[in-house]
Amino acid sequence: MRYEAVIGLEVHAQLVTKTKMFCSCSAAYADAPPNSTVCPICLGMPGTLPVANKRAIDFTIMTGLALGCTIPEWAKFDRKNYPYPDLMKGYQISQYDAPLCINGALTISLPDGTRRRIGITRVHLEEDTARLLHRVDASGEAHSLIDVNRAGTPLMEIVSEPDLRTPEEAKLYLQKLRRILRYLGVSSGNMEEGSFRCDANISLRPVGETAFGAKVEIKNMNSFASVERALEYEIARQTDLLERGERIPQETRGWVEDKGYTVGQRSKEHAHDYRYFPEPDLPPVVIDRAWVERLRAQMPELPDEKEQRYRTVLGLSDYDAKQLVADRRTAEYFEQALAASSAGNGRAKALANWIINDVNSVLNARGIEIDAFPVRPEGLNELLDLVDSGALSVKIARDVFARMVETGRSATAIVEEQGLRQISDDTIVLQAIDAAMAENPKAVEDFRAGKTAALDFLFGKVMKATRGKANPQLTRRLLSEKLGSS
Amino acid sequence: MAGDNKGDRAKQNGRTSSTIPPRAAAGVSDGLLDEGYAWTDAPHRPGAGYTWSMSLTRDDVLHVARLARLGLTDEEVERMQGQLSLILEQFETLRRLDTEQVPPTFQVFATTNVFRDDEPRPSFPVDDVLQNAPLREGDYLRVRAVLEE
Repeated sequence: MRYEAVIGLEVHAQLVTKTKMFCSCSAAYADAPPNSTVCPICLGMPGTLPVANKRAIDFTIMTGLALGCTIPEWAKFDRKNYPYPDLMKGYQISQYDAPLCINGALTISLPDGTRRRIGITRVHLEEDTARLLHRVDASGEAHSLIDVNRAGTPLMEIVSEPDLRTPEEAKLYLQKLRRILRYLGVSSGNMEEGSFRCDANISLRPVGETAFGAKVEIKNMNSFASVERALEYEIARQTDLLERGERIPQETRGWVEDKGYTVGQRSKEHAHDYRYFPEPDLPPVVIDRAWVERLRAQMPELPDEKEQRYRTVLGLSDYDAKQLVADRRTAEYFEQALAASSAGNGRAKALANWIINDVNSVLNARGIEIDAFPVRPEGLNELLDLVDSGALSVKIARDVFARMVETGRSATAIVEEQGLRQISDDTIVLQAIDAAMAENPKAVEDFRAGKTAALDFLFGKVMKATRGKANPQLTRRLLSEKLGSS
Repeated sequence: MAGDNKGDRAKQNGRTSSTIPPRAAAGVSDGLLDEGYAWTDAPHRPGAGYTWSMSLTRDDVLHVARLARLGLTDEEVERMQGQLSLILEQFETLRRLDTEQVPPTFQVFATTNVFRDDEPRPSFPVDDVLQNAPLREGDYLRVRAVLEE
């Protein structure tokens, strides 16, 4: 029998706020000494009162808008109760039945061009937990150490509908979602550092069946690649069980990265055991439409819109547009260079080529991000000015570019200093042609005897004599004229 | 002050029925939450979603005690069984009221939208933070081993 996978993803994204979700402690826990960004509120001391971080709510609503969600007129926080030492209060403040955003969608494009609409059930806001370090002391006794710094930092949860069907779709969904969060500037989206975490729910069913099979939740996936691998593994495992006529138990399984398999974890406590109830310490959030529109107006151009504009307004190819918008900062670099261009949008194609090929290959070779690239957008644009004015051939421009990357100096300075300016003066080029013809009479004979390759030979001689500076188009034209006429 | 309170209460009553809508407008639909979270028709009434009848069994009490991480003696289990059943019976009495047209009360205060600007303020010194910790190791709280999730 053939089976199809039904996959839904839950993403937890840390928000880039300065402070925690319900208190004014710094949210920058990563480099802070243990338990140094903690106060009675995030410790859950009796008598303290949480107050919600406005920016975190704004960020969540903006994310909902970017995902086409409905923003209800009213939302509230709830307590999710469970006992674990990473929760200071014995409960997590989350949102249960009245989240900030509902009913959105994300459309992904598969490599074959198919587009798939993936429903977003909800986007809600909650608080992160403390960090536990598991240790064994000298006597061999296992214990855990708690660092409360992360506890109470804002965490946004984005829940998809079970609309994904393959591990590849899951990966594409995550990549696209992360890119949107990065464009919005609400999350760093760094998966390895845990700022962007993903749990997957997966079940199998015979193709054609509409009911869902037993759901398995997979945790501990720390990269896009591990999400894809874990889901592939799980599909194989469940298929095998079903084919042997076994039942698949509903459970939580952890992905073991270095072994490449999943293992069963403690059975998930029944949801009712969380005993959700409305958080009495936090008043409801009433979201008037003016607030929503204000946030909508602050939103940057999103990757899909940008890609479309690059194609339709700037006339870039599908490929170029996709490459440029893949990373927000690359798109910004491109747009800054374009804004500096005296040639206006006419330079879009050339800039796109330089960034996608030349700039990116330096970034890859050096393992740096475009923010740290030594040639700033205006500098790249200046180089292209020199090419367009005929002062530099594209070939020499590449050498100049390499010097710019190395030295951080401007294109003009390098060209002047090294005398690299292209020779476009007919008289000087003709002198070089005459000299080359005089020194290579055999080549001239050959050409006249019908060997057109001899022209390339002479062209090479001219370029060599001018150290590559002769304008190539001009040289080729003058050389053919000269050979043809005499 | 008394006048203010009365005003607040009046405002709250007005608000509960207008700006804070019942479940439907709050974005709640049966499809919203995944299967394990399915609503009964009375989400925030005591006992909602639980399977016990008004009289609690011994197992119900042990279940609740386990969730609260309470160790009870047999005598306490029996006593709690009686007391908790009584509390549920009280709610069963309330449940007989027709509340079809009454929006659920999630909050007893009339306030909404109490927010904080995202401006950091100093945290507490680590010695204060760990002052009540039963066990401390360096600048960490130390607890008995918990299973890695």
